[in-house]
Amino acid sequence: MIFFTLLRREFPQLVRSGHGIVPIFLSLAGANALLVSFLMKAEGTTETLPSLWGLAVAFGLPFLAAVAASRGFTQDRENGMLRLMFSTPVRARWWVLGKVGAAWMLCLFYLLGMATSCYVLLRWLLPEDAQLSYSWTGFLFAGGALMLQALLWCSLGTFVSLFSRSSASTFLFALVSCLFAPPLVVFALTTLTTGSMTQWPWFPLQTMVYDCASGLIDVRLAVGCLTGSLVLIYASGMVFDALRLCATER
Amino acid sequence: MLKLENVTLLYAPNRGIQEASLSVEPGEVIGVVGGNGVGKSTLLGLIAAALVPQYGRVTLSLAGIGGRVRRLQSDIGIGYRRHVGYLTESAPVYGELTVKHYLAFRARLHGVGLFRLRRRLNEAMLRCGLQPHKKELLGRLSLGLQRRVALAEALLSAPAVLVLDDPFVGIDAAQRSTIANVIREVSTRSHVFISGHDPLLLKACCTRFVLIENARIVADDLDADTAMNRLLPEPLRKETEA
Repeated sequence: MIFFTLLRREFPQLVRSGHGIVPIFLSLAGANALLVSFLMKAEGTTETLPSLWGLAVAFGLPFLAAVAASRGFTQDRENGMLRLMFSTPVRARWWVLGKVGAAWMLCLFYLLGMATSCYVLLRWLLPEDAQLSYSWTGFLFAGGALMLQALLWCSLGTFVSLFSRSSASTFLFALVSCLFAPPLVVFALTTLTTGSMTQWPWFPLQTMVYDCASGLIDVRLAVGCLTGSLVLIYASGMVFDALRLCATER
Repeated sequence: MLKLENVTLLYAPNRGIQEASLSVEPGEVIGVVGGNGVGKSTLLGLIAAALVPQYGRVTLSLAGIGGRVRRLQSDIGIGYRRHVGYLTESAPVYGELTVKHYLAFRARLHGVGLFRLRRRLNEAMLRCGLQPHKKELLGRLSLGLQRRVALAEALLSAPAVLVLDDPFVGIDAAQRSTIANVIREVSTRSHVFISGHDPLLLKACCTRFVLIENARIVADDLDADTAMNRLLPEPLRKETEA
């Protein structure tokens, strides 16, 4: 109940703010341009449409999630709302889930927007003799992987927003973390478990979406995304409580 | 009864509040007075459970069903916070919501059920003179009106502990007396704490005064005249008396 109350306020506010409507249009434009360029390059190859679509969407996702989540607690701190939130009878985890949920819903709108543009592309814009193989299962897997990733990015952004005093710096930190944390984590984990790694994993999560769409589901990465999100949400709740304990609401 | 036992929260030496002990019965309106930066807002933040004491505790004892007394501690769980109405110094509000939507949102967070919501909203808006503005966006209201919304929000949940940090700042003269009446009305069943710098308004609302100096409570049972004598410099006091 509290979660939906918070979500009902957070989401419309996020959409109406500069952290919602502008980034979603920019991400959609960027991802569509990327998709078209991928399609042009894929001419004559065996690439499937869900893989290309997933890859195009996955590159815009960290940017959108970072902007959306950077609003999170930083804006409340800027408004002086944090002290009022501390004295409200709502547990820290609900505040965090409300923020993460709002940012995640915005990412879902982005996915829906990209799904629509892909449908339009398929239905009306591609030449009739274009031979592109696609399966609904591929789209479903790619969508699932993207939703999971969006949750991770939003949790990360919300976590970062607890430490920062300005939305701009939160955005920067969240974006840098989104871009560099996954390769570092994957590299560290792979080196620890297998002993060596032949190639630096530049875009492990984007590759995961690409693979998922082709039917190659990497369970370790999916579980990693989900666990990472849950850990970040839990840690954000702890940090929120710690802010109250340390009286650092300003 | 609300009890503060050796409550301490220091940001730096002599910044914050130190070893504050106080006992307040329901129906009392406590005026928290002192100069700038002596620790009034910190003390009110601790009472409102927005801050957690480094030492000591704030306990609220409430009479429950069958005469059983429930003791709620400000730093444990959210039980205590359910009984607190808090108007912060800056009185922040969400500018993109209308007055009515904002108050409804805050009421739901305070656990006001759907059946009571409409009555509570109307009551709070009526008390603070917000009925004509209920459909206006908060961001477009003047600062004084925004403060009245924040005050209405503090009153929404019919709190057992009402904490008002400088409630009269930015509020016009006509509304000041209305708000003073509201505070007196609410105080019959609540523990009310008010800070401020206007001696006459505080005198009109408060039943006793707590004086803070250098992060410590130096007197906790002052009457209005003594508090004014301690608070105001000599020339200003004569002027006020006149």
